[in-house]
Amino acid sequence: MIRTFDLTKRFGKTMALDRVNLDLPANSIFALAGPNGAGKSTLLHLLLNHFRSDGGQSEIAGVDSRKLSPKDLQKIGYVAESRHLPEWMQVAEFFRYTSQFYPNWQPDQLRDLIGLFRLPMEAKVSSLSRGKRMQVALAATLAYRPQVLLLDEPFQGLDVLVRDQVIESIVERSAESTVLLASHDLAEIESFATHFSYLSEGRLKFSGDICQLQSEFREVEVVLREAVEIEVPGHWMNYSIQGEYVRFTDSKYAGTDAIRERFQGVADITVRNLPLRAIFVEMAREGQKS
Amino acid sequence: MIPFRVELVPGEPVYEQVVFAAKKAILAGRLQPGDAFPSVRLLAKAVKIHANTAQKVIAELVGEGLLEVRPGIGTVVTAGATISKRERGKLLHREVESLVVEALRLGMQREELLSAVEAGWHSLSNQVEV
Repeated sequence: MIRTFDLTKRFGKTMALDRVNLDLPANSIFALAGPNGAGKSTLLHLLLNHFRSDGGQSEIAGVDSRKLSPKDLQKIGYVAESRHLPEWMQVAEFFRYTSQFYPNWQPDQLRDLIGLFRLPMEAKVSSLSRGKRMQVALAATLAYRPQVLLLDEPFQGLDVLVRDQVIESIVERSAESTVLLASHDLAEIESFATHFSYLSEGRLKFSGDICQLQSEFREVEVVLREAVEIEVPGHWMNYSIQGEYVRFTDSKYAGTDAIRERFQGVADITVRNLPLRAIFVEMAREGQKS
Repeated sequence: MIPFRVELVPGEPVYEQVVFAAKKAILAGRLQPGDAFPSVRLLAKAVKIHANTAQKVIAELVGEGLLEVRPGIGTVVTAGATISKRERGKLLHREVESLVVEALRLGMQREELLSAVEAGWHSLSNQVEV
């Protein structure tokens, strides 16, 4: 549903995106993570042909981004905080107005979302809080049941209850749409995202299935019988040794025996699963070192 | 709403956590044989997980014989659903672990804890229907 091939974008001398290759399976909820300025929003803009790329290609809903027609855009949803909303309209008016552009508009779906988000239909868009604006934009998008949904930082600045409602509305669509979600709120996405990718300084550092990621990453602590320096394999991240005590994050964990083999005389090994958030931190730390 | 609680903890596969919670509910009798099990859509929505994950959870429970598919109705809890001894141990693993940790923190001796469990067992086992 979404694919990029060596997608590249420069802003002046800055490489905003550097040969990014992505392939989102249909019906995935694909989290695009990375620090601010990593290029997450730029990637979404390129997919939607808001900017021209400086190299490579991208495809969305089966169409080359550069050839998107208004008809194609009816199948695509895009929600971002930076997105313009008509401030002078009442919420109800905004929905009526938006519905004209989408033949597939589903009044029932909208009614459910209005109920779920408790949207004030009489209020003016300009008077809405940050969270409510996001929900109004999301409701207006989900109401036409897009096949592809792009969300840019949908949880930023939302309180816990509102976040929960937003997540609920996204998973509701998960059997029928493909979602690309740019966020650094990893704790929020861990439970419902199917894929995770990590973008840093315009480069894709990692991309893959969350279940696989969780099964491959382990925090490892080893107590040695005596302190010894060894050659550290590339997939051991943030390796540190203090006397007999060794700590690292294994990014290709394959059982304790594989670890034991690297050392002479292991007294004890402790292995822990890592939350996505911690995996992300480990990746960021490793990225800073290189 | 769904008839069991799932508190998702980060770091462990979501799929396993939900299967675990469902098994616990069935074994504890919160879900009785013949009771309807939530649909994929409802489960996904209530626990806030991907529909594919919810699908996988239900398929796993059906595969293990805890749920059965009734055409036209949906999935229901199988009559006489049982779980192996090893699985039963696994279901309480977390509770046992936290009980032991708490006991150690309180400075309890092993025998003290065991007799407390023993006493609890005696006073409750007659009241709780299994």
